[in-house]
Amino acid sequence: MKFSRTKKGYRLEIAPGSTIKEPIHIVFGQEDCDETLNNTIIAEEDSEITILEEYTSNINLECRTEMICKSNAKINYYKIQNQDKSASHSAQTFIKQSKDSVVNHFSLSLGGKANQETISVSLSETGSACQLLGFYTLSEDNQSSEHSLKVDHLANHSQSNMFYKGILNNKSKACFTGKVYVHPDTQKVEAVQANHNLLLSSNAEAISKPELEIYADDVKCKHGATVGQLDEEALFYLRSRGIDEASAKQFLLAAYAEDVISHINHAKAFEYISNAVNNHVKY
Amino acid sequence: MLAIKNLHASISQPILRGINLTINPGEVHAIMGPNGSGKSTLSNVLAGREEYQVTDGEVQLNGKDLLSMQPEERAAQGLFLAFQYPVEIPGVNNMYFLKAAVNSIRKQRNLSPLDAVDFIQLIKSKIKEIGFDESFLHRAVNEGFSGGEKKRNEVLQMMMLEPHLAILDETDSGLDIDALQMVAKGVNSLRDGKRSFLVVTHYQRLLNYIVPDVVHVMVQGKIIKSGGKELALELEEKGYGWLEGNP
Repeated sequence: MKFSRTKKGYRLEIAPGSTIKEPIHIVFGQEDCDETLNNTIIAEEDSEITILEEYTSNINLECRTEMICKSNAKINYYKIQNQDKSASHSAQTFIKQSKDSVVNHFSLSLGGKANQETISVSLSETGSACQLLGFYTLSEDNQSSEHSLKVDHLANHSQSNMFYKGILNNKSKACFTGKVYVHPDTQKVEAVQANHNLLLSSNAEAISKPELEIYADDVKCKHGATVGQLDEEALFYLRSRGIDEASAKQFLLAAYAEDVISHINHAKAFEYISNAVNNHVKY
Repeated sequence: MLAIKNLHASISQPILRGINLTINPGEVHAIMGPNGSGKSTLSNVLAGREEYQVTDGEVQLNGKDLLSMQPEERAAQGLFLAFQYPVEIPGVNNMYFLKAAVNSIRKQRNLSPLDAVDFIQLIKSKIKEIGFDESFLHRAVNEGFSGGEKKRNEVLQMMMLEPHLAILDETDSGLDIDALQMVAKGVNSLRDGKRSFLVVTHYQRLLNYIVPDVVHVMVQGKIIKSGGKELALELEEKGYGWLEGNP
């Protein structure tokens, strides 16, 4: 593995055939970065790497990340955005995947004032698969998030799965745009898009736009979006068993997040993220 | 134990129109009645569901004003409702939920919480009685449970929480005869001469297994007749029309 890091970002290269099981934990704190970051991750053929990136800075950040996942390689990338509530976070990620490669991308958005995330994936060769998971929580007035995801299916037998959920409170606003583009004559593609939002306040606003654009005939694609409120029936059920209202709500919020987080298949990353969410998601 | 006086409640329109009912410690009362008579409304009002408005009357549980309490306080005071339609709660682990419930009630009663070891010992003995295997504890609350499993899960919760007054809201609906017997066995194991039960049901069948001391007939939000267990048999034979005509 080659790793170099400056205040302007990092570059990580994994040699062909090598597997690094322990997550590489990279923190961008107050002293650790400039306002503009450029990160590059290259997984060579048959390699596997797990990265846990954490943003805790209180300055406005713009980061651009490029990921290249070569044949039969696997990148597990977990990002925690927990910046100060006064700072904005803007991220652009470009992912290019070769034959039979897998990218598991997870984005956890806990802090920040105005958050923008754009992810663009090119499934360029046959058998490539990506999973784009996300969980966001917005709790302050005028806090906002905007997730724009695009997956280009350019090769047969490629698969994509977008699954984002969010909890919004007070006068916060979230926007999700998911686009799956199946290019002409790209067959045997499977694509799923889902975005669900839980509003805890009548002032919160969620906009969800999952879109499918398909120019092939032998594909399996589905999408769904919901905007809802806490399940009153479930809340009453828990309270009727002696659990106080605040704890019962906490149970339901944790369960709502768990639905996404449980898809993280790296045990250590799962534990770390699970703790971050449970410490943060408070009713 | 439970004293209901002149209870009126509505949800967009009046449903309960003056219920009077006293249940003494150790007694099992059954409420029977046709659809829409207000049986489930009574159960839900007692458990504290907020959609129902109590417009008149009072309810005391062990001498305390039940209607001013939050649902969780009612549970801590010893009230338990076995739901007619137990709610599925994806993502909330059954065992974790039960432990939270048991310890939350213990806390409100100023008892020290059960630790993990004590809790697991307790629950393992209870799930055997109700015919569950341990995998049920690791599933989400009621998620994907069959109708019978949901009702058995209600009885399991009842056995864990050891209420003073348990209300069974149509616990027999959707149960086959084996599940019915299992549920009745669980309920009967809790009959100790002090604990009281209010069994709400359409049919007499359940009362063959959970034998009541008193049977009430509810029609149009009122109890129109009360009697011994033989009243249930009479209703089964003659139907409710026999009473509805002469309230």
